[in-house]
Amino acid sequence: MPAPTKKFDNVRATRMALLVFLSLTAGLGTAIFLPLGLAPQAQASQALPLAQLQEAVPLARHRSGHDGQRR
Amino acid sequence: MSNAVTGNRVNTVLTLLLAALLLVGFVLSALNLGVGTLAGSLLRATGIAAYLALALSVIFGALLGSRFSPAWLARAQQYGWHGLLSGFALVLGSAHGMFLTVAGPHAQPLVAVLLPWWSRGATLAMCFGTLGVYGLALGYLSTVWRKRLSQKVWRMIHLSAYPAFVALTVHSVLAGTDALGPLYGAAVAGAVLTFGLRFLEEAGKRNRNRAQPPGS
Repeated sequence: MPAPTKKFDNVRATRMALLVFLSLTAGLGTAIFLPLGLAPQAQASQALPLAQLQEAVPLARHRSGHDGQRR
Repeated sequence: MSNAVTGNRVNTVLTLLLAALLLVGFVLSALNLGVGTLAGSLLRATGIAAYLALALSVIFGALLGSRFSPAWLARAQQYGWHGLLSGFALVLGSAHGMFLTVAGPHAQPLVAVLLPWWSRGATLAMCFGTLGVYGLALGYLSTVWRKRLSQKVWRMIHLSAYPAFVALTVHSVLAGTDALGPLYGAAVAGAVLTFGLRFLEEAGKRNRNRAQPPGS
């Protein structure tokens, strides 16, 4: 193993820091983006049962003869 | 004028890649061309990366030249990495602020990012964020202008990095939406420990100097 150098190699250290922060920003961005990006699709998949439910509620009220409003 | 970035082809390419990632993300978000969450994702990613760089810079900064600094890391390496990390914290923190101006429904006008207490919503958190970045910039600039300042003035200005670190931690805890408690906890514990070690060392030196009369 080579002995650790005492002199600070500015170019090499900057390269390493650039690589670390480039991958960190891209990686974190992707990790955060994916769950958020999937959220609208998840909402869309839930939208259909909700629409069906809204259709079903007036039907149920109609059958029971109750419109859900208090008098 | 050549420096560590422009003087090397690989570094230039890496800098351009990082700049392109941030710039393309910013333009897509500003023009509403990307997926709605793009700006939010890059806002949080730059914020987390900037906080990580800041925490490491503050933790190692306190140990610079002290007897508690790791023996395997030469003094030149410690100073070099401290400067490099604080520079990245400043650049990524500024990019984080810029993404806030295009972050969809939570977007803030530029004036609210630049001036404390001008934001719409989460005013206290935003205020801490803006003041923290200014404190960080002050600490960085103090080193750039170190030769023009006396040692005492430089040290006083440079120590503004500690209030800046506190302000940015409060900003992250109040405004951060990710479950990053362990990161903030480790950063604060590391900063308190290294500051405490350095403080005790400096206090010990001062006491020894007082006990020994000059010339003895």
